[in-house]
Amino acid sequence: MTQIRYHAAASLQEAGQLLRSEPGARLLAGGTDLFGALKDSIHAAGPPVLLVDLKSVPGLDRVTLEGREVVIGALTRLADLASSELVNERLPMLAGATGAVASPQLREMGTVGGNLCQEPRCWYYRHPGDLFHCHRKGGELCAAALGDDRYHSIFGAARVADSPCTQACPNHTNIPVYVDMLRDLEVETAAGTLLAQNPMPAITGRICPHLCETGCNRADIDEPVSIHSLEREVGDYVLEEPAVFRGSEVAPSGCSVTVVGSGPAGLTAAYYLRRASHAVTVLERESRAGGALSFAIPSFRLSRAVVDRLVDLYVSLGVRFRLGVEVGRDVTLEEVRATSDAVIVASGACVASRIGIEGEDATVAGLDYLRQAAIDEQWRESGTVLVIGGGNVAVDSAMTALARGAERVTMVCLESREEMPAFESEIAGALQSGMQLRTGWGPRGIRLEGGAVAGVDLVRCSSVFDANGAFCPVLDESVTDFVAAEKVILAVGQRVDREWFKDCLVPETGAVSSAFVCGDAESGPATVVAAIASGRRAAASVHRLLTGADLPGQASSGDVGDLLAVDAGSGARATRVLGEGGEGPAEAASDSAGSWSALFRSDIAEEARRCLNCSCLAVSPSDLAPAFIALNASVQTSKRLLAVEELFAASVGASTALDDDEIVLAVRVPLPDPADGNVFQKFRERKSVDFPIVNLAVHLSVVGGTVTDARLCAGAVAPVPLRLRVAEKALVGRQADLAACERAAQAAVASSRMLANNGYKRQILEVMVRRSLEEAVGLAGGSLTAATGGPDDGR
Amino acid sequence: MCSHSAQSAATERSLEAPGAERPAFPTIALRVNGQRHELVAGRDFWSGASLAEVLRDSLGLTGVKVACDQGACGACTVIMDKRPVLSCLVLAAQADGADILTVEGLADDDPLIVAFATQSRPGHGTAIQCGFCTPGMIMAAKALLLRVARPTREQVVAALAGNICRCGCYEGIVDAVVRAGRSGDAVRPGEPSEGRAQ
Repeated sequence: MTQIRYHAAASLQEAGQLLRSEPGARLLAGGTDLFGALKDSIHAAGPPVLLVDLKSVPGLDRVTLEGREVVIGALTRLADLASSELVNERLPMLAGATGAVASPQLREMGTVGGNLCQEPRCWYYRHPGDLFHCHRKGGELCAAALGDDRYHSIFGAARVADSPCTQACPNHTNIPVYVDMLRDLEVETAAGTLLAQNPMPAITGRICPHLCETGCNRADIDEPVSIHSLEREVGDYVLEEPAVFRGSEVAPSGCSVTVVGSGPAGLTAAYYLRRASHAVTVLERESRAGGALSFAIPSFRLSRAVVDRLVDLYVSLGVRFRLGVEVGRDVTLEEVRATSDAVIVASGACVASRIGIEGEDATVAGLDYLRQAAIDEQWRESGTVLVIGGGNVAVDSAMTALARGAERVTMVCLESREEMPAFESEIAGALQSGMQLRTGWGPRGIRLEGGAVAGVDLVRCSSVFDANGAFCPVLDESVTDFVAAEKVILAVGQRVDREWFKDCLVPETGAVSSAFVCGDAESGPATVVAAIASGRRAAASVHRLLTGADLPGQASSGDVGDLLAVDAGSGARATRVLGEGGEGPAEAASDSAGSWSALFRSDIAEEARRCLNCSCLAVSPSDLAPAFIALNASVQTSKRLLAVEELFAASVGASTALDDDEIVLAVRVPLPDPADGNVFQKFRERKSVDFPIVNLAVHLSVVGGTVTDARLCAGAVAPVPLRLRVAEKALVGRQADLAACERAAQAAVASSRMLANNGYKRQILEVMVRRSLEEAVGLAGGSLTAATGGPDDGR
Repeated sequence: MCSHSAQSAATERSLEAPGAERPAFPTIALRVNGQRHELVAGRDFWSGASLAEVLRDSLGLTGVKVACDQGACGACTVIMDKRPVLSCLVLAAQADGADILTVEGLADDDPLIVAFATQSRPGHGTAIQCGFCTPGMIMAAKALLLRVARPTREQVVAALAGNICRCGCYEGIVDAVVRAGRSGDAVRPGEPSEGRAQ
């Protein structure tokens, strides 16, 4: 058990000070939740806990009437609240809710503030000894998603932290969020969500190594979710829907930005800056746009048509391309800086590395080779080709040579097969296509005969990396070999030429604008998805420079969005509906025209449902919170006044949206009209002690037989107390009759997402909504006379 | 529930909180069953101790029963400043200055003691079978009787809702408490109680 220290706070100021200065300081109110959690060691042992007792601070335990509000001190004991004359007279529904909390003893101990701020209900989260590496505690997966979920959420999970797929993605893509939308085939919404982080899902869906899938928790059950397939489908949808790509119209900012380079980083920066209404010009030295997408990635991996369609979208968005313009040759960087408000350098890493061996000048650089093949589709290879290098450019060069007609292609690299930097699936594909692979050899020199390449002398490489993992090849000169070849391609890495832009990277004011570097030009050779992430960062910096504001529409990675769906049986759904990781070149290269069709839609939804949505399924168990929310109460803290509804936010280590040193002081409940109908119901397995399975608070105003106001809030059905807004909508403005209650009950549960074993909670909630409304209508003088009891009755 | 392991864990805890430079609360003063006690942290109890541990282990008041040790069963109920509380969920330090009543503090002729000991009614059974819940039941009932001298049967049921009887003697227990409340009316043991009518 964590060591406990105790301090009775003399004042709120002292308590706040301790919370700020003492590591491990926690507020102690009634202690029934916190001390119980400490005794059971439900959290990992940390530094000694300092319990700062608030009961010693005077004046926090009063219930008073201030004007039209009942003000309830945070340290008011639940038993005192339940028996308060004022509350019983003016807020009988709240008195009832309070009397339904736990047991008589716990109500004598527990406080109003403690009830609101208690930890969530989940037997994995609360398991003594902290045995489950629970998502809400910073772990990767919610145990309830695969385990016993009978008491868990029926309205989806709370994204309390980034899921493993998002963490694994270099672009930190909010994968579960758009996959969630694909469950219901809300493709346009999903596309909009994905586009907020990645302007070219059709590209990444085809060629990204999809580290997200290696992080996927689903792999522990059967196979990872086929995120790349889903991404590709969304990407193809975007290619066909320019309006989705363009987004909403924004008034021109009057600022101009020039992007040097039209590769993935430059295009990404251009997209977000254009969407933010700046005038964007992209300079590209080649005669077609796309950079590495067009010239470094072979067309058998990525169809040129896909790149061209993406560029067309950019043109329709209003991005101006100036092709065949090279900075430094056709225009100086100074001129570019003088004519735009900001410059983004996204020129890639295009300088081929050299190794300094004899005859090296007779070799062809890998990138040059790929570019040559890209420019001339008719160009043919012949004879024997040897590729030096073990990375993706080397593999692509070898594959290109084979595809263009080379008789024999051999790849030689220093590394062992396991150490090769190229993606394993691409190496396997090349071997399948007939490439010879010789690992563990280094080139000693290119052998020339009569000025023509005859082959490469090799020397054995016994190890590539030193003990620290640094590149430090050890060659064994005693073991040599020779491979005959008519052409040698050298693909041993690329460097960035920084000379031409390095002087303008210091932010300046005055005549010339600042330049920002992104993509490979910033990082050295990397993946397309890393370039996208970098381009997005650069766009954000430029936008901030130009406007002083954050780039619009960019969710920060820590954002906790709406509740995410987790389906019943998602853990059991074993078959992977969409493709495996290593799809064949033909499929990958298809230009996808018309591939977004109804034919695949059911597959997409089915695959999306395989996502475990690694989020928290624990429920908020407070009985008071729904009552306060239905009564439209607000919370007075040491820092602000906020609606009780705004108090709750599930996140790692917290159940409320409060700051670490923020103290709940009181709840302020506006006096309802005595003619209103207010009802609280609670369903639990025993009539005493237990947490709610479902609870519900209803506030209803009825005037002349018509519902004029309705507030419904359910507890223990979601990670936060849940306003049933759809049900409220179904009531307001309608006749207050039995049919309305029934309609609202159905509406309340329409969007529920049951897990494998908690469908019964949906039934309880539906009945509870109907009965509570019938009772509330009766109380509010509606047309119903018989007020029925809660579902507890008759048990 | 795992009362055995919970109790053995409690006895294994060292009195000295490891790593504590200075206990934040060197001493606590308790008034238990009318008698004043001063307890020194690190000597008489460990800093994270519950009130139940202090009452049982430091003061020897083993009438305080610990069954679930997580606030679910009511066996550890004591009266603290006139309120029935679960002593397993009260941090001992939080009880500093409190006035506490345990089952040991009740007189032998306390109406509740008498009623529980003599409860026997055909069809309703006894108030005590194994007896483990009895001290908690009596203290929860005592808190009620301190507030309501002659509680109705419904009031008794509500007040005892947080106490579990593993043997299922609820009817006998409720009878006993109702009779204790009416003991001033010279109800004889075994006589049917009519608390419901009040």
